[in-house]
Amino acid sequence: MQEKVSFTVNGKEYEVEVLSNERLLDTLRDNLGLTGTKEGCSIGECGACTVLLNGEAVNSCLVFTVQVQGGHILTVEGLKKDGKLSPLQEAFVKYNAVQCGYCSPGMLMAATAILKKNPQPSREEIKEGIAGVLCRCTGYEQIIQAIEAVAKKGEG
Amino acid sequence: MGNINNFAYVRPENVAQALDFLAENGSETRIIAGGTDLLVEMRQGTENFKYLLDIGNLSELRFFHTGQNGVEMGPLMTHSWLAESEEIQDIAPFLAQAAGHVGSVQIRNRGTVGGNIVTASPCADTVPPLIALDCKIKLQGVQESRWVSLKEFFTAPYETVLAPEEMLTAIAFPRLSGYRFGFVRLARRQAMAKARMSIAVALDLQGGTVKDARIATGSVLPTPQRIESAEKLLTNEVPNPELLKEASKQVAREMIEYSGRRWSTPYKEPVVATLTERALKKALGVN
Ligand SMILES: Cc1cc2nc3c(=O)[nH]c(=O)nc-3n(C[C@H](O)[C@H](O)[C@H](O)COP(=O)(O)OP(=O)(O)OC[C@H]3O[C@@H](n4cnc5c(N)ncnc54)[C@H](O)[C@@H]3O)c2cc1C
Ligand code: FES
Ligand code: FES
Repeated sequence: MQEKVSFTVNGKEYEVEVLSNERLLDTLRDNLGLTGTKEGCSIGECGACTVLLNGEAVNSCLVFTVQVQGGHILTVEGLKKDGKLSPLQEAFVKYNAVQCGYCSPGMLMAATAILKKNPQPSREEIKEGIAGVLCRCTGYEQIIQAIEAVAKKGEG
Repeated sequence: MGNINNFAYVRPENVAQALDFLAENGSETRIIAGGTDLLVEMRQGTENFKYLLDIGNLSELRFFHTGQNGVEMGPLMTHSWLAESEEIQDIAPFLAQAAGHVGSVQIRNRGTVGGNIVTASPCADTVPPLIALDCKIKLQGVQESRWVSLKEFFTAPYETVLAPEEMLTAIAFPRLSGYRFGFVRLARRQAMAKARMSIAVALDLQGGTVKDARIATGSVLPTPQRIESAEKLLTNEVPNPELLKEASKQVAREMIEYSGRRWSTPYKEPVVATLTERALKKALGVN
């Protein structure tokens, strides 16, 4: 069944017509062409699909688009400002926090949520905040360092 | 998406509308709160229903009151909220801890305590502490509502006494003033792994003597339970290492008595005893 849903993504307003069983992940990727958000496990375990919904990190594979009526969504495409990488994105590059890059969009969104909640997170808070995003390549250390670097500079 | 059946989406404006809808269509309807259990279940293709009733935005179901006697809260309170609420940390720290163990930040932001209860998974993290607190839940239908003890809500793994036309609308538990609390869980990895077994303990210690002991288990018996025989061993006693060991072994014995000896018993028996002992020690603040 088709449903009309309106929400904002990265500050831009959208009204879409979706099947009632379409997931936010599919709407973002297939309908809006925002393919930065990745699909991994589809069952909430890998975090590749992480976006912010009303300021909080969620798995977009576990949300039906119809549920986000009136909501505000931030995806990895929304991190850039005036065509420039955000401090977090810069730090991910600088600290080699990106290898194959599959986890990076989810990781960046989880990191954004951490810094939004607490601009000066402890190492433990960082670890807890990214625990829902799996990275098969980096062993996490470089990712943690990148987030710490941004926190230190107070740029989060 | 291919794997998820289609359905008509229904968004009621208030609880009364939701209950009206359930009265008509309850047996063909699934309720969705945060969706973290439901979407996984649907992905596995076992679910088929005609209507999806979205209660996720009903502010009437998102409340928290606390008074002299205890706590009453709405089913939509999330694990993130439970874990971070100063009031929960103060009144029932083991509940905050248990909620903090659920999945990941992403899951805790969406997952609700009501969904955790109604899914009735044997390993639901918030349930053992709630049972130790003598939690009661309100099941509301369009005509009448009833308060059910959480202990009696579960009939088998993933099965409950909730009727198709009912909804869980409130969760209440008394304030256990002066009690000490402990919660431990066993999981494969720290993050993301669902608990394999968990133990929640509440102890009322007065002048060194245990006046009241509550031990609730998750994933030890088919449904979450209080282990009264072990609680009795502790009541009116002064805790010492042997007594804690004995009570912990009693929890393991209950499990065996219930389920019989199985291939997994040699593994589970000492694990259950050790977890219980750890939970008791946590509550007592000893190592
Ligand atoms: C990756 C992952 C990890 C997880 N880890 C854990 C974990 O460590 N520990 C744990 O305990 N759980 C875990 N879960 C399970 C889940 O997140 C929790 O059980 C959560 O609390 C469910 O809440 P929800 O609001 O998302 O439920 P939903 O999926 O919305 O609903 C779950 C069920 O309850 C029913 N329901 C919900 N609310 C009501 C209501 N008010 N009245 C009547 N029926 C209702 C729904 O119809 C459905 O059957 C995990 C899930 C995932 C995907
Ligand atoms: S795709 Fe959503 S968590 Fe893996
Ligand atoms: S960089 Fe490859 S999964 Fe993280």
